[in-house]
Amino acid sequence: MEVSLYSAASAMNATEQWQDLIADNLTTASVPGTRQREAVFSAVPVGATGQGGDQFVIPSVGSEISFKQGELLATGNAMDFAVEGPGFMSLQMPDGTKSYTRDGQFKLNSQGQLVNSQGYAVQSTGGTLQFDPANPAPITVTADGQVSQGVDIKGKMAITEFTSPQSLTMLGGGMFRNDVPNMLPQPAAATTVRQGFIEQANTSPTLSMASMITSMRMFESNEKVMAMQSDRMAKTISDLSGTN
Amino acid sequence: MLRALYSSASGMQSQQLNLDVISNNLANVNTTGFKESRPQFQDLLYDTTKQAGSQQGGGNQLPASLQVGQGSVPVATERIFTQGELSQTGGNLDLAIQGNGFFEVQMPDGTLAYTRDGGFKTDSQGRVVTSEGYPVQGGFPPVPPGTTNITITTSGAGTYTTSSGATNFQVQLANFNNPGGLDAMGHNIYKETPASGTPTLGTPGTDGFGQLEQGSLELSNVSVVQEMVNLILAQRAYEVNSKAVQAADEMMQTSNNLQR
Repeated sequence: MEVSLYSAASAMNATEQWQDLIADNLTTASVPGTRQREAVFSAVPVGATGQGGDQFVIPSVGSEISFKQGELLATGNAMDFAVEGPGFMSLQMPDGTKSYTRDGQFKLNSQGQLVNSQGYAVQSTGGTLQFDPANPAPITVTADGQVSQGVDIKGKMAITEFTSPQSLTMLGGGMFRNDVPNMLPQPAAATTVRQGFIEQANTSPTLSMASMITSMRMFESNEKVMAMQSDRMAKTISDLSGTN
Repeated sequence: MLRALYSSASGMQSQQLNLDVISNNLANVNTTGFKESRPQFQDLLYDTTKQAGSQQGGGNQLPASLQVGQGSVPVATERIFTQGELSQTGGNLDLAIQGNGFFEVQMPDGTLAYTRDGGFKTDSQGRVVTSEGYPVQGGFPPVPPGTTNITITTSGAGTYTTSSGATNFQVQLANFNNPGGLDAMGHNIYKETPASGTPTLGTPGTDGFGQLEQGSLELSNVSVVQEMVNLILAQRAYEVNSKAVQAADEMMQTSNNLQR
């Protein structure tokens, strides 16, 4: 059994998946609220043992979402919101469930609701935030999430925190869903809302490039292992079969 | 090789922060009362393979350790509270502090904050407020309607003169043990933190408090020349770190190409 050939192939596969994650991080680096994903490597036993009973292992790649705070960019737009701290803003999905997001580029729709770019309404602690579309008074949100239109207080923006945000399911579009049955959303304790700011993606291009170089060189070294094994097999066949 | 790669990448990250701080300083070169920041870096944990002083046998000790660092990391952005230059405006509520001290203002949520920006104005009720509308504490009574003259001396003794008489008051400044520990909130406002110490109030011109200059504003203390030099240094440091990354990459490529 050509263990080293398949080990090298699985290592190349793992580094390729790592490259995919890095590329995904870099392409979404310009989208506000994006949380980058980091590759997590673990060892999987292959089943073959070498001399002295050592287990051979191959790498397997998983991804973990990084919830490091991204940089805040001041846009001056009153409908842009950034969350500072570990919390999320809540949106109402069409199927009735809630999704959570850090991307605060909202606008008012014709019915006077604050919606994100896909049209999902921002939630307050008591349901969907509802504004008066005919009222020209500006909407202001304080640091603890209290929303007012002019002088009317419309409610408090629902900011939720989770004990383990890495377990949230990534929905795409900057939204997360809580599929963990035991993890209950908690009201924000250490989070503030900043109006007029957006939170940029928490990707670090420099570190991503360093990781990309590392993964490429690892891919290359494993490719050399495969080439070496291929040569060994070819030499064995040609030497032992007597043909030259 | 990987360590060289990640050390250099951390160096590039540090220079990026350096550039961010320099750009902020340069953007605020005309902000009244602005105090520039300076980033501080430190080296990361060292990977010690051999410890100096370890016994080598025969009573000999190792004279030097084998330690390799892991890069650099930013540790603080220090706020430099040097005096900014004064610019004459002639406004009778424009005050500049020559020396130590801050004006105390009240935020909308009731807490106290501190500022060096003395460009004060009066609101509709005659209260002395900052350009954002925060009422100034520290002894300023509301300006009565019909006030013809406002004078404030260098030691903070103020007088409003109206046609019917004069109101006298004493301006007080606030000072901190560690002004560098204040939290910058934006809007030229600083907030007290456990690191800055509690504020002590005092009369301008006494006990280490600075004097007041009426009709002047304190300009930003950013030195454009110094910041341009720092900018050049940050850029070249970034470039030289990127060369180290490239070198590490090429060395890895060479080691991969050892086979054929």
